[in-house]
Amino acid sequence: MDMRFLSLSFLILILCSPDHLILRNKADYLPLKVGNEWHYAYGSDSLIVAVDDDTIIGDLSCYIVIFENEYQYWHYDEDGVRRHFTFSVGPTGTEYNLESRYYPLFPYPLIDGSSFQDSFRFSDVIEGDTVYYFHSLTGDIISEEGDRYRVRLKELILVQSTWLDSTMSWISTFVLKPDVGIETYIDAKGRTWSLRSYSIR
Amino acid sequence: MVIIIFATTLSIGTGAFLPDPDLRHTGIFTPFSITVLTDLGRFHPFFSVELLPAGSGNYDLNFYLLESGLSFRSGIFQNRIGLGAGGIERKLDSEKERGVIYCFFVKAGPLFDLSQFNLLPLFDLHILTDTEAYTWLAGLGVEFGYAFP
Repeated sequence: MDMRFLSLSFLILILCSPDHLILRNKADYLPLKVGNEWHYAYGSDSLIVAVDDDTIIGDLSCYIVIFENEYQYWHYDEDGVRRHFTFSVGPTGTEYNLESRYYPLFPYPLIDGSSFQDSFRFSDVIEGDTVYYFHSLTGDIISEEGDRYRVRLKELILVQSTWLDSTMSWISTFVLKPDVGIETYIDAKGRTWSLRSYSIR
Repeated sequence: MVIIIFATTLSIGTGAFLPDPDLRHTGIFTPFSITVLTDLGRFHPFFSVELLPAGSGNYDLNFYLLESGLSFRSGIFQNRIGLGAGGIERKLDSEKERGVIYCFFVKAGPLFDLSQFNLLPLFDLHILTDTEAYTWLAGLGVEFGYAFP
């Protein structure tokens, strides 16, 4: 009787295991292909994330993604998704790039409890004034039901000069569903955008 | 309940297995196995414990399997077919995820007898599933065995 009970318990345990790690290892948590679209809703507002085209920036191919009504450039490979980010200032009309590089957005492999950091510093004399620039990012990854991962990104951008002293910080959160993409997006204003429909190839 | 296993051969094995290319960040698996073959009729039941570690950089993907099946000879070849179950572990730095996997496998290779000892180079194919997705490993291994008199 004890052996039967133990065997049954073991069987139930292994059949009910909620984590599918082969799936997690193989799944595409953000399937990026030109033409893919995801439609989100927050109350009566809507948001469309779409892969519009592809291009090459800095010797890396990347997808042109329409996200929050702006064009973003996302590179995707087996190490995950990196965003090409450009930050520029123009005190007198001429634009000067303070940052133009890739940083990690969703680094693979996604593992419950893991985190990642990235930072970038730059300083230069622009039109006779020294400009200090700092951009940092920290990300936390937590697994959720259904082999999903919640990625929380905290970003900080500091710009200091005599004509500009700016600090921007924000938190954005993404829930990634395997082979679907971003299922939920919480933006910097705390609005939760929920996936309503999607079309992926 | 008492289970008596008549072991006729005890083998240890190793090798190199290539993974399904869709398994990211894994590299080559370097298995280690201990196998007990029994002598019960034409088909010889066997039991194995197999560890299959792999990884690259600070990421590790490990399989731990308990396997059972039947072994049979055809000419010089020893063939094995069986099922197994065990654990899968994904590890990045100090963070780990663990789950359960099941496997089906076939192994075959020429068996060379050297007195009480034997040498078995073999081809190995494992098909593994976590019930939602499957993957495979294939490669070459070698087992060194001792046949009890």
